[in-house]
Amino acid sequence: MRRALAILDYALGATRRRGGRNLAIALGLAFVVGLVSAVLLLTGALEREFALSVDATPDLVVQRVIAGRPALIEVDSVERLRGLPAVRSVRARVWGYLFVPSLEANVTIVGASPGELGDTLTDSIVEGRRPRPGAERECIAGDALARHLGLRPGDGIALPVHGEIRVLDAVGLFHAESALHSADVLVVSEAMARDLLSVPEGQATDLAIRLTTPDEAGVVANHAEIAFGQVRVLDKRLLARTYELTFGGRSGLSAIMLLPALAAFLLLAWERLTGLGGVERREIGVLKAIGWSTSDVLLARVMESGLVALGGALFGLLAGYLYVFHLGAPGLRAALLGWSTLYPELVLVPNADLGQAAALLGAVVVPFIAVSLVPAWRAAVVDPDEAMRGTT
Amino acid sequence: MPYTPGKRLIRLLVVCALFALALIVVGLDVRARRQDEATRIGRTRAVVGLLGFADLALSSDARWLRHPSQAESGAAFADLPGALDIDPAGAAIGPPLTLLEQGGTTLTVVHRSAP
Amino acid sequence: MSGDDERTESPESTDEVLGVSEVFKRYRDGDATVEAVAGVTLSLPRASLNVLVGPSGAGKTTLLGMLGGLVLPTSGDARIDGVSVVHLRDHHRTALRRTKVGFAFQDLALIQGMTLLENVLLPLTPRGGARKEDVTRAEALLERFGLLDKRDRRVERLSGGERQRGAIARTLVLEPPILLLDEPTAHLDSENAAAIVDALVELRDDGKTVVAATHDARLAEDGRVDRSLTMRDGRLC
Ligand SMILES: Nc1ncnc2c1ncn2[C@@H]1O[C@H](COP(=O)(O)OP(=O)(O)O)[C@@H](O)[C@H]1O
Ligand SMILES: [Mg+2]
Repeated sequence: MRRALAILDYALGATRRRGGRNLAIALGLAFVVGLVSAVLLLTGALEREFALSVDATPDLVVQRVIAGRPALIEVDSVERLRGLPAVRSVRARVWGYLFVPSLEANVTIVGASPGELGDTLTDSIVEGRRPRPGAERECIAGDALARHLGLRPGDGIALPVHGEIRVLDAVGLFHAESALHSADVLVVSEAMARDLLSVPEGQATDLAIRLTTPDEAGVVANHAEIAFGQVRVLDKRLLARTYELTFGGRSGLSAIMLLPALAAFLLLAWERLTGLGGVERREIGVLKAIGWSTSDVLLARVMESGLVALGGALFGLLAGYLYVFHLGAPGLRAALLGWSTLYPELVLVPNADLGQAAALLGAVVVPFIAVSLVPAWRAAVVDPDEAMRGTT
Repeated sequence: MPYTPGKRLIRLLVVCALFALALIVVGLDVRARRQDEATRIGRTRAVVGLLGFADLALSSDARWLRHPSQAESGAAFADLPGALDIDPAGAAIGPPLTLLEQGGTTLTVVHRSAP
Repeated sequence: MSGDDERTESPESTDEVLGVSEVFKRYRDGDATVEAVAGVTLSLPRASLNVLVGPSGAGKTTLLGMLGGLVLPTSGDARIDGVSVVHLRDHHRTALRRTKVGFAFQDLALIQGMTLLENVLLPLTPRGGARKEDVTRAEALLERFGLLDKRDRRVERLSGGERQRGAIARTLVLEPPILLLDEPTAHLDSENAAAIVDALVELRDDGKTVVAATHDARLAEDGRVDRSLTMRDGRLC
């Protein structure tokens, strides 16, 4: 123990003596680890957010297909599915996009019946209040939309409906906490939605189906196809999979874009670590000559490179965390979330645990130490005078 | 500087302590962020239930199309034949705005509250 | 003192502390082979002051290295305190060297960037570092070589002579019974050189076995030296 401490003390001095080089390596390592951990943290947080609310989404969405494109579906068709054993509820939904050039974005208009507003929402969910049942012109706006428009609860939104301007009352705004789902949404009464989106009475955008047993999804989907002819049935699990792929793919792409930086750093580190300088060889020779064993020399070396690597990597990890969760990952966010005007202002919750952090640290630090050990080992096993003479 | 054998070790300890402190702060931050997650998730689920979308409000590179579920399954330019189209209508740069303006809606805000 | 005769008459005496028999050391230099040491046999008793003299390139440093177990002979045997080092494993050889031999290199082998005192205490590190009494002893050594006021100075800010003396002080910090010094007076003026010789004589009188390699005739010709061995082309003559 005393020996290890004494050698550690020496290694600290050595780290300091080669401070410039060690600092450069530590910073390079911090940069690479910071970027990698930022990508992983952001992806993890998004996946967590998605996973936590995915079970509230409908198990199946049935769209009618005409000429190969999604088309409106008869509201009556709800009845043809409602009787099926595994089906808990079927809802004909009226929703769609309204492209607003001044925003350069689509606003998603969602029609809600008075019952739905009353059943699912409480006032705590919105800033302001929820629309009163029957109040045709009251609406709730999503967080990103409100931010972009400078909306505050109670403001009005003027929209053209069939040529004439209607003013909606944004009585409530969704909190940012649900922004991943509601950022660009305008929840209006179903009648207003029909007006805004030109959906005729008796027709709906699609059917949202909840099942008692999600495993029956295939059976219900088959039934819907038989009942309506050309339909497209979206399984929630399939969509979850698609998102996983999207996040995975995007974080993978980001990671690939990091590769040049990574390669450059590895080259630098390799060059620095393997091309053991004359001064260092000499130092090893001296240490051996005054009675240090090979293992003493190597221990000092492990400690030196371990301190540099661990310090740099830990610093990078902390910086990555700050960057993602406190600075909101500017730059990286666009790569992972997609490019949009109405960005959801996400409340991100870290998904990674200590084990994963340790794994990342280990994956960086261990090979780093190994690489730095090779030349030191080569210098330490030869006769000390040769290690010294090789340079003079 | 006078020779003090333990000085560097003490400095290392201080640095380790700082790192440990930073890790603890991060740990507390994570806990704080997860703390009210239960209520937050409950409220979010209520919103999700109301909207009934399977999709997230993330744009999929194409800002004019939020919902992957609305993508046409026969879209051209899939990455490879038979590939799952993970980014439908994917493109880094949008179409000319004049193109988008056709059929666009004018939306104006009527401010009623004091800012 | 002219103890030369008594001390050399029985090379295989049980008093032997350092010994080599028919040692060769060859270095490969590209295609050519350099024979740095070519068949030297030597036996040095306890408490003796021995000087290896010879021109540069004679093989003094190499022989010194083999005497101290630092350099392995290509052939032949080398003994420290009767233990043959040739067949010892590396860590055993290191242990033997650490307890028995203090070695001061020719090339002023103090580590740059460290202070003089840190350098002097460096051999103690694998033993758990310097305790208070070690520091006291190291300071006493520095005082003996007139370096106490340079204690906390970085090595690169010392003169050549100061570094030379510092390197010798370092070999003494573990109080080894054997001292091997390579060109101990190389960077010193005659006054400092004389002080070094005085110190070496003192060490010999303390019972240490001292071997100094030098091309400096002043050292070899000092009357207090027990044994003066001349080397040329890898051989004793
Ligand atoms: N590691 C080595 N590689 C090649 N040649 C060496 C090596 N060490 C010593 N020599 C050669 O061996 C000879 C003796 O060297 P050395 O023992 O240093 O002599 P001295 O100390 O008397 O000047 C010299 O010619 C030197 O060049
Ligand atoms: Mg020499």
